[in-house]
Amino acid sequence: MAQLELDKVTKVFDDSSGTIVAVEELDLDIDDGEFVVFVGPSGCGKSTTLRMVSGLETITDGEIRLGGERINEQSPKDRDIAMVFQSYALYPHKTVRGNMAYGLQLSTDLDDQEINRRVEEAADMMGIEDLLDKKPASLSGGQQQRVATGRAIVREPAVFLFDEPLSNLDAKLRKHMRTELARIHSEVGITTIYVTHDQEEAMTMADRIVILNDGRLQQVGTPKEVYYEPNNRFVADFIGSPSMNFLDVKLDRDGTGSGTLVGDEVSYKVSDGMVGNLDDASSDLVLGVRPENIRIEAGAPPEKSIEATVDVVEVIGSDNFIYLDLAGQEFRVRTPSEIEPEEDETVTLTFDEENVHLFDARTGDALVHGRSQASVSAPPEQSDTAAD
Amino acid sequence: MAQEQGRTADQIRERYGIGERTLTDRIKDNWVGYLFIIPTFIAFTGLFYFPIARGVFMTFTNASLGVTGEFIGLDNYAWLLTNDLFFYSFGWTIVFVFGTTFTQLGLGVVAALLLNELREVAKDWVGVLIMSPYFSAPLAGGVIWMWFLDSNFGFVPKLFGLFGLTAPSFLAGDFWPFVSLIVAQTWHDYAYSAIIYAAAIVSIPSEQYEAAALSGAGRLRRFRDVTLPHLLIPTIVILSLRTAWNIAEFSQPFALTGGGPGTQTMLMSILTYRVAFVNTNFARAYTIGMAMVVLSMSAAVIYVKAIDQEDDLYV
Amino acid sequence: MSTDGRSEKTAESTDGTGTDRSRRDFVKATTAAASAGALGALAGCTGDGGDGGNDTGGDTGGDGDGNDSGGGGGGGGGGGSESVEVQFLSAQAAENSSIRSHFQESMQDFQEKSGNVSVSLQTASYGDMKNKLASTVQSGNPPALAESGSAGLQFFLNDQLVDHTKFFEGSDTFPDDFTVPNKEVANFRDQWWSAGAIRHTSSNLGIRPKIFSQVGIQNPMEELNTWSKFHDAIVQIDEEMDTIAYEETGVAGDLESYWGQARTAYTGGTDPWIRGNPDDPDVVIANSDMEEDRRRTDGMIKACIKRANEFSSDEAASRGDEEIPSLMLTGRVASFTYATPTARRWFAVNEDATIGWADGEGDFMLLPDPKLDAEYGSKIGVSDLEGLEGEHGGHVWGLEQAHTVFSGVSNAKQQGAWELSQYLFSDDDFVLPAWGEHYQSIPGLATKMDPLLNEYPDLPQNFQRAIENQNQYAEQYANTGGAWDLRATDPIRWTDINETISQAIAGQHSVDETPGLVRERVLTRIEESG
Repeated sequence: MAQLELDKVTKVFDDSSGTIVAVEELDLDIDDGEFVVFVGPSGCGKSTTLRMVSGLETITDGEIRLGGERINEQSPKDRDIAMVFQSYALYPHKTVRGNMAYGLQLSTDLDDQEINRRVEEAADMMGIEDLLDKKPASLSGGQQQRVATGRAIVREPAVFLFDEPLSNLDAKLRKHMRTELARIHSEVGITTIYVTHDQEEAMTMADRIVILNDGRLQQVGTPKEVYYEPNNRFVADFIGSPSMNFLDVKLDRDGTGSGTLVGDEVSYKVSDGMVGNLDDASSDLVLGVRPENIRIEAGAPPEKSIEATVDVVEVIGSDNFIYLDLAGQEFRVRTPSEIEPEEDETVTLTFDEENVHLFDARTGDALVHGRSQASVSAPPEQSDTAAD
Repeated sequence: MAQEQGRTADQIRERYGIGERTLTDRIKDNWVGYLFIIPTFIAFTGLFYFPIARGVFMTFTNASLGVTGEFIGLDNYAWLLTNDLFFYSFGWTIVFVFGTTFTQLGLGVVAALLLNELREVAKDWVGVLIMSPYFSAPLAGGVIWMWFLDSNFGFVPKLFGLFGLTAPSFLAGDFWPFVSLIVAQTWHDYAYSAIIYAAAIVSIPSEQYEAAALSGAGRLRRFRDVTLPHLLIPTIVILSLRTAWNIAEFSQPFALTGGGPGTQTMLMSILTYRVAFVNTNFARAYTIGMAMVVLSMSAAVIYVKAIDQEDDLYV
Repeated sequence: MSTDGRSEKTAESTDGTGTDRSRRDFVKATTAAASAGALGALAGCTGDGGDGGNDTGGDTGGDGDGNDSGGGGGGGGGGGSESVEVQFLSAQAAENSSIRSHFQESMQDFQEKSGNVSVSLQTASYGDMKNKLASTVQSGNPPALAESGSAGLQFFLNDQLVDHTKFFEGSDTFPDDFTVPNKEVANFRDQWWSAGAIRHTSSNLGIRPKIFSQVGIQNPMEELNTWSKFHDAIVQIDEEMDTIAYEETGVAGDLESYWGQARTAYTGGTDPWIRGNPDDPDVVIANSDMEEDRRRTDGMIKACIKRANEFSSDEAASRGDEEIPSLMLTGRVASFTYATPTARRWFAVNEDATIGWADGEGDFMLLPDPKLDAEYGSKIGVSDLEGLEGEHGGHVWGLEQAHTVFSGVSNAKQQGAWELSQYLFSDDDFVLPAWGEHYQSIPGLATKMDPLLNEYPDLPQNFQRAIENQNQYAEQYANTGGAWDLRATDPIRWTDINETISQAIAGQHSVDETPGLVRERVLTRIEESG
């Protein structure tokens, strides 16, 4: 079975240029047929993890098991893993057919006829039947991407690895290929690890998202989980676009158990349900709220609102991104397109308590989410323009 | 664009008043540019094309030391075609050139692969080591090999002596001088192909190796299926250039055997020199030079044809 | 070009694009013009490139200061007659550093003595001489006086030399005091084309006494005086000792050794190769019409090849003479026939080398080439030579050192060049140290022999012996090719004769077919060159 387990997997690069921990004690179980996306900023260790799984990189410590069997020492070709590279890595001198058949010729003892049949089947699935006798250089980027994917599919491996496969395509094609790949996955149902630095890609494609930073696991969860209940400030910041607003606040409790979050030019009243369970010691907090959860509302109750000055209004069609100045810090709001305040205008902003996230200012860990996971009802409204 | 808008180029020109540009217009606009080109143009014509044309003309004269000579038609070519030594040297030149060129290719690939495997610092040093013969004067190369191969004082015969063996006379007889010349010439210039190959190898995306490794290709297989195809174009380039240079090679073989023993290793380049400066028959020397040009050009044509065959390589 | 640029510029600036634009254009134009100028200068440089070679100190890697003679040292400005600077291209001055500095000092000496002629001395090795002359003459920039060697004959035939006869007619010493070889060398079909060779050297038998004494030789002058006796000795050396008994200097350019050998089949100075009317010469080689002489000439060609095959190293066909001193001084070679009077060569290899027999302990000794005796033919296996005898000391050089005055310079320079050549031939301040000390050789004027011997009574054995050879074979001591008076003397000597023999030594054709091949090539050459 193609269940993939990573057990305290660690990778240390130690050479003349220094000693770097690229991945540290990463634990992860990936179920058979699952589509897992690794996401994180560049240098976070996602590609290194992928390469350790593929066998292109040795494992410093820990264990990787495929179908319950340790594969640390197996060479790449023995792992039954296929990989799609960001650059596609097509062999320029071979035809599309030759590219796709290569792995089968080397690693199986199928006869030519059978290989041909499988190549054509895969080509059919990828919609590249007409390109089989062309050389890669004469194909467009999207076509090359399909060939690269087809080359992986044709081998029917236990695990697919995708290393930022869409980042060389233009935005429109990228979106198209996303759905295309999702469709393929649902057709073949092979365990897949997909690496990207694009959180939007991760959100739309993944069964589960694995967020990495500095070689450490930040959070594993479904797209909704990581969106609504980010484990920490890093995840909260990374997922969502434009990214979450953060304000340094202190909690002033009143007698009733509820309290007020007070910061520079900010004062926001929260209920007992929100902060009742907070430890008193953790009075240095960070208030997080997503731009899409903030409304511009002149008549909002003062204890639930913030005043800020408009800096820039970015019109993107369906929505407006409004960048405001709040006590010298940038504050982002996403509004419907009909709401378009003037620059330098001071506006009143408000948001619901259920959209508030509180983080420990020191550790960055999430303390309270305004809305518990149980109450999640609507899918997250995702930006589809920013951060491409 | 014009087509898409349903207008002809003329219509557009008419609409925006763009007139036909004459030569004078262009000269007016770019006169400074032409001014800059003129010296180069004159220099090239005067120092390059003119001498070539003059050289070709000279093959139809009896020019010799100090005089331009008179027109004698095809006599020099007749002499060439009836000269045993010329035919001999023509054949030996071909053997020498191809022996040298192809050995340089092979050695160049090996050196480039070796370089590619090394770490940065070692790469620099080994690189310098590999390149050093290429940057040594060919004449010096000849002297070095002479010192190496000389039966009486040479290093190689001494080395043989250490093991109680007698080295053959590397620069005598009717076999070893040929080998010695080819080996020495290979040594001198193989770094050229190594440089080009190394550059080509570095530019092969590592993903292609990784993809091949994941597909189940072992080391040798990866070399065959990934590295070698990427070396094809560089190979053609190296072949063409090295062939031309090896045909023209003079200094090192001249220093090493001077065409001897007897005239056994008489390359066309050395024969040219001898006819020009021993027999002072410059016209005939130029005529031999023409044969060398023909030889280089034929080789180039063959190589270019080979490229044509591989035209669809990356398309 | 610059005026063009300027007019274009004004045209541009009146377009009304403003002063800024026109200034920029001006700068551009000037730059273009300047670069064109620089290129022109470059072309100028290439044009007189030959001339540019006069700092030859660096060229030949010697002591560095090639021609500082222009420096005012000799400035004979005073004497009313116009002063003139003469370009002198010498190969002799490049032979070694001591003769080079002697030449440089002597140029100063000549300037002082002549008063109004200064010399710009340039040097080129003998190997580079033709090359260098070709470029200077072609570019219309010949030196006034050059050690043209045999290439000078070509220039003479091209009318690029002065007619030296006019100088000779005004001279008391020329050609009367010339050595025998010089009389042949400087004359071409009754015209004096050259001022002659300022010195001669000869190639004779050279042996290593230390080796020959070990095979019982005690008096080499007697015991090695015929080819048969010499043959017996080298057979013994070859059999008994781990050394090359006889090394042929068999590269085509150094087969003068054979030229000396060839002459030993004749007596009285008869030319072994080409005789008679230069318009229709008799080629002796492989000439069945001249059976006895053919046997002598062909026999010596064959003997040369056979001796090389039998006694010489594998490298003989590419052996140059300059390799021999180190081989002989280290005992690897016992004998050769390219021994010259120049002792310096040997001391350059080993300062302590003993030249001469020295009771069988010498390192090197010069002997006359052995005489041909009746038995040698059967000993060496060349039937042509059986029963024939002859004798000669060896080969003498002359043509290679011929000095010529070029006509492409002013009359004053021609006259200055002639005066300089006279100085080189006859001024004791130059001649005696040059040939007695710096580069031991035989002066170009026979009359200088006695003063030389008086000045240097203790000469090295090889020089001493070379002079005695010269005296012994006096009138017959001719230079190879000098007497042929053929236009193609050089290719006949070096290519048709020497290269063909060298090929035979290298095994490219058989011993027996060699004379026929040489004949064929010589005849073709004569036919082509007229």
